[in-house]
Parts: sequence; structure tokens; C-alpha cells
Amino acid sequence: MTTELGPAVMEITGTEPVSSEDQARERYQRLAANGWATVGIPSHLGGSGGSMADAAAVVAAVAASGPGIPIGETAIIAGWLLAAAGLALPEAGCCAVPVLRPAEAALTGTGNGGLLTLRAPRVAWASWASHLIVPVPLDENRALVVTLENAHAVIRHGVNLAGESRDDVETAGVPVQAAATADMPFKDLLAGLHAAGALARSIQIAAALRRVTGMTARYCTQRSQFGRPLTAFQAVQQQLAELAAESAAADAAVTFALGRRDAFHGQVSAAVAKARTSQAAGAGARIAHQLHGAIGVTQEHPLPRYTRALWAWRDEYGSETSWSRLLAERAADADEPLWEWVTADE
Amino acid sequence: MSGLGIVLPGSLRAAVREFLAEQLSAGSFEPRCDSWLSGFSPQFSRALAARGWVAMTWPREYGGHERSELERLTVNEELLAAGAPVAAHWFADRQVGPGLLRHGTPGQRARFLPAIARGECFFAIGMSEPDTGSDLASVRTTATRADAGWRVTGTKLWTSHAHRSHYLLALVRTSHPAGAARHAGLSQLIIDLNAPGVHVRPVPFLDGEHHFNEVVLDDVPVSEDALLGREGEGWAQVTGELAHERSGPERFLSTFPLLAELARQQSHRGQPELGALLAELATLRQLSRQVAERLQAGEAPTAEAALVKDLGTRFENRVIDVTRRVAGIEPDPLSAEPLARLLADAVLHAPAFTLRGGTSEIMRGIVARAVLPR
Repeated sequence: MTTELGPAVMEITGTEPVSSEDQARERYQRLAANGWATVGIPSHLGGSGGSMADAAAVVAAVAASGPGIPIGETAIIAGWLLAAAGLALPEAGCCAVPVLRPAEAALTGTGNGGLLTLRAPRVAWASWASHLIVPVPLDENRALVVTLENAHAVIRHGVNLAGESRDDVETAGVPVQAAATADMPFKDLLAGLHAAGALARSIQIAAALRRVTGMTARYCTQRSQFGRPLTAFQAVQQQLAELAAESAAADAAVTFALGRRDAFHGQVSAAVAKARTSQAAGAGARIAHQLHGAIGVTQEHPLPRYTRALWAWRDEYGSETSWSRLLAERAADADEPLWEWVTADE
Repeated sequence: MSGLGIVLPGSLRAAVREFLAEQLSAGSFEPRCDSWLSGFSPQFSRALAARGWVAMTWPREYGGHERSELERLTVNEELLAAGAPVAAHWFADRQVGPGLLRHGTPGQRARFLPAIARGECFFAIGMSEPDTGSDLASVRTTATRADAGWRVTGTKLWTSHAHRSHYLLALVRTSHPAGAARHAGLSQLIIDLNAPGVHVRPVPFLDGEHHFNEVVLDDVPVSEDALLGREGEGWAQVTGELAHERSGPERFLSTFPLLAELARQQSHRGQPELGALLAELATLRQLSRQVAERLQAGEAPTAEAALVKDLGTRFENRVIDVTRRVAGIEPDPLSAEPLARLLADAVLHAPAFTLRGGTSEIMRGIVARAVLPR
């Protein structure tokens, strides 16, 4: 099924990046109207259903058309957070985005009558969405997940390097729309959420990098210097191969993560994916710009739409360094030789 | 094992580990970096063969075990991760067997394959020559027709383990077709290394170890049935096997014993640089597995294999860099400390990682051509 989703999504997104916020919203609306924005969220929670692999295929197809659409948040990350508490999407057709790193989150009163006080920096797409999904501490063994209309929140608009909304959010005792309990400690809920975010960004990076690799190869074929196409120069071929290798490695790291069952909770799969794709994002963008030459550093060229996204996404939800540290710590905590840890769960 | 005898990779992995633990405690080997090239042990290869871990994917008819490519990959990565001495059978298992199965006559298969599968018949590969490195089509070793076959004259170089192998699978020129591509007129011949006119001379590796050789072929008589496949088709036959040669775990696990030892030491645990290596290792295992699956499906994913080799051999070198930065020790070939000893091994062997089996520059050329729009 997965392989069939990409082309269906691309019929809506096309292959060109959006050039304005209006165009982005219009594209998102069409994705949502076809059910793609919530693929991966179970249907009993108000989503479109489908597997994690389906959600990944949709997120990849959208990312291949460029940044500017909150699909990673509305499908993969929101899907994980809602499912963790069995909480449904607030309403049909809404755009609900998760808050991943609340600096402060407290609920007074109980259940659906509760009042939320929230402070969260750089929430992706908060100013774009209609609703927020927020993790809140409850007691030692449990956490809450609540939804609220973002009209209740004070939102200070910000951006990432690709111009995507990254907004500071504050509420002071505002009514939540719904609440449900997740049977795990708050810190585990945040860790799983962070991993879901990392996997979503990894999928986006791999897809964008594949696009960048194709663009760069095409440019090197078309562009001539010294009377020969760039591809005739071995120095160019070597760089192109390195770009292709980074792209293939990013794809493989994502495939690795999606093929394992511990996707979020164990964090290890997401760590492999994000550590490798974040590294590939920087290395790939550098080569793509070098091979494009000066035309690639102009605003009108499509390349920077992708490379600015790569530079933003590689640091969102954990850089290669932070996820590498987690991998090293997990391997160190495991009481077994390294190779046994590397091959565990097979 | 269940009644139907299907062993899943998980239990296969456990069986290999048990075997390796027995061998280690019996002192039959000491873990080394780059053991697939320098660890030559006929006894160890025979013990592996007795367990069915040589010739794993070949038909039973020829002494094989009809396992999947994935199962073969599982066994091989276990052996390499442990730094076990697998060089004796490695090249026959990896290249010669598949070549014989694809191109050999029934007589050739019957003669060589069961002996290889038992770990009793070892092959060296004769491709490079003094003037032929990356440019393989320039081989000059020539086979000229004689009464009952050929007479072969020329020199092969960098021929690993020719001094203790039984046969040489050599790429030779059998004709110079006028006006044809340089790749035309090449053939593969199986040459008995004990035949008259074969002179094997050591070419010590930079650390003094002897695995490389110069093989001088001086009017060596070779019978008609030594031709593998079709005369003049040597180039296509050789390049068809490259995906097998370049995508296996030996292209990224040559320094794993060093990494494992680094990770074992409490004081070096938890370093982000180690984690970055683990992410790369998981990625490489995924890539290698994807190539194995395509090989299983009968495809020849040459560019994908070249990509695994380029990324994998860079990883092997990064293990050394990270060990030096994290551990801050001196490499010491005679040290009682395994880490210092393994580091010494790895550093001295490293220059060959990105040369053998096709240089990184050649690999990138192959990858680049595959990426370009048609």
C-alpha cells in the first residue's frame, strides 16, 4: 500500500515548493480534504487510519515537494501523542499540532472542565493550526494529554530557517477542550514524543535530500563549462557520488527505523534515523550548493527552498550530536557486548 | 531447531555465537581487525564448513546448503564482528562459487564446488597486474591457444594468499579483436597454482605480513576445461559478480573488533562519537541487507554495492579516528592491552580498505553514473 500513496499525494502537491503562505494553506486544505493530513491517526480517534509506513509515505511525498506544510506534525507526531492517551482529534477537519517541549504545563480542575496554564517555546505550526495537543504531568505513573483551541492561547510568531512557523505559546488558565490519561510517566511521554518528532523530521530530511540529489544531478548534466558538461569532470562526479551516498544513507536510516517495532518508546530507532539524516542534511546541502555554483544561492532558485529546510530540520527535535549521545548511552547501559546490542531484536 | 529444519536468522546467529565462543575458549584464534584478509586458517575454515557455514546459498547437489542470502549475511557478519580468521575460504565462497554456479560447466561444478564447500579447496583471485590496477580492461596476461587448451604468460599482482591457495581464478586476454572495445577478448581461466611455470613470490604488506603475492605465469599449460564461462566474455562475467564482492559486511566490519573493544571499556562509554558510529553501522547494515535482498532476487545492483563499499570503508577508517580521539592511547602491536593491539592492526591495514575491490574513486565514478538522468 505504501508505495501507492506517494503518487496519490504528489497529484495534490505537485513537485514545486509552495511560494507563499496562501499557497501553502491551499495545498494543506486539499491534502486534509483527501484525508492525507491525518493518515496514521487511527480512525476511532478521528484520523484517516493507516499504518506508520503509510504515514511515512505521505510525509515523504509532501516533503519532496518542499517545506511549508505541517504534515509531519499533523500525521506522525500528533498521531503518536493522541494514541498514547486514546484521545480523539478535537473535531473533524481541524488542524491539530502537538506541543513537544512545554517549559511549563499544568492543569487545574479535572477532566474536560480543566484549565490549562502553558508556556512552550518554538511550537511548530502553532499559529497555523486550529488546535493544540498538549502533554501535561499528572502523577508519578501517569500523564495527561489535553486538546485546546489555539484561539485561547497567546501566540508569538516565529520562524525556522525555512520560514516555517515556530511560535512561542502561552496560556494562563484557559479551558481545555478534552483530556485523557496516558499510562506512562510524563517524562516517558515527552521522550516518546521527542522520538516521534525526530522520526518525522528524518523522513522529511531523507525525502528532501533525494529531491536535492536529483536536482543536482540534472543541473550537472545540463550545465557546461570549458566546453563540457559538468558531469564530464571527475571532481564533479566524486562530489555527486558523495551526495548520492548521503541521500541513500538517509533513506536507509529511515527504512531501518520504520522496520523496527520500538519506533518511539525505545527511542533507539529514532536515534539512528535522526543521527544519520541530520548528518546527511548538512553534508548533502553543502555538496548540492557547491555543485550548483552561484545560481544556487539566489532566492529565485528552488535549491535554497530545500537546503534551508534541511538546515532547519537537522536541528529540530534533536541534532545528530544529541541523538548520537543517546545511542552511545543506551549501548553503554546495555549489559552486553556491543555486537550483541547492535544485533538485538532480530 | 524445528522439525522442518528451517533455522531463522535469530537462532542461526545464536548458533554461530556458540561456535565462536567454543573456538575462542579453545584458543583457536585471537580476534583481529581485518581478519577476512589476513586471518588464514584452513582448520577454522574446515570447522565452519562442517557446520554448513561455507557455501551456504549453493545447491545441495554441489555441497551447498540452500540457505538465503540473508542467512549467509548473518553468519558472515557474526564471523567478522568477532574478528575470526576466515580468509582461507572467503574468496572461493564469495566470488568463485557464484561464478562457477552461473557460468561453469557441470564438470567444473562437480570438481570444485563440493571441495570448496568442505573448506578443502582455496582460491586466489588474479585480476590486478603490475600495470593494471583500477583499469582492469588493460590486463596483459595472455593465454594463447595450444593443442589441448592454452599456454598462459604474464604476471598477476596483489594476489592475496596465492602462496597457500590451490587455484587462481585469473582474468586473462585470450584475443585482441580488431576494432572492438578494450573489454573484449578477456576470459576467466582456473589455473592450478601447482602447475609448472607458476612462480609465487611474496609481496610483504607494509607491516611485514605476507598475504599479497606476485604470481608469475611463465608459459603455464592450461587445459581446455579450465575456461570458466565463455571465451571472450571475461569482462561481463567479472563485472557481473562485483555486487557480491562489494556489498558484503567485510566492507564495513574490518575494524569492528576495535570498536567493540573501545565500547567495552567503561571509561570510554557514552561518548557521542561512539553513538554516531553506531548510527552509521545500523545504516550500513540496512544498506548491505537491501543489496543482499536484490542479489537474492537475481538482480545485479552494481551501483548500490559500490555505494556500500564507499560508505563502508569510510566507516572503517572513522572507527580508527574515533578510537584515537576517545581513548588517547598509542597503537602498540605487541601490547598486552587488546585495544592498543587492535588499534595497531587497524591503523596499519587501513590504507588497503579504500583500495581493494576497487578504489573509492572508482566506486564514486560508478555511483555518479547511476545517479545521472538518462
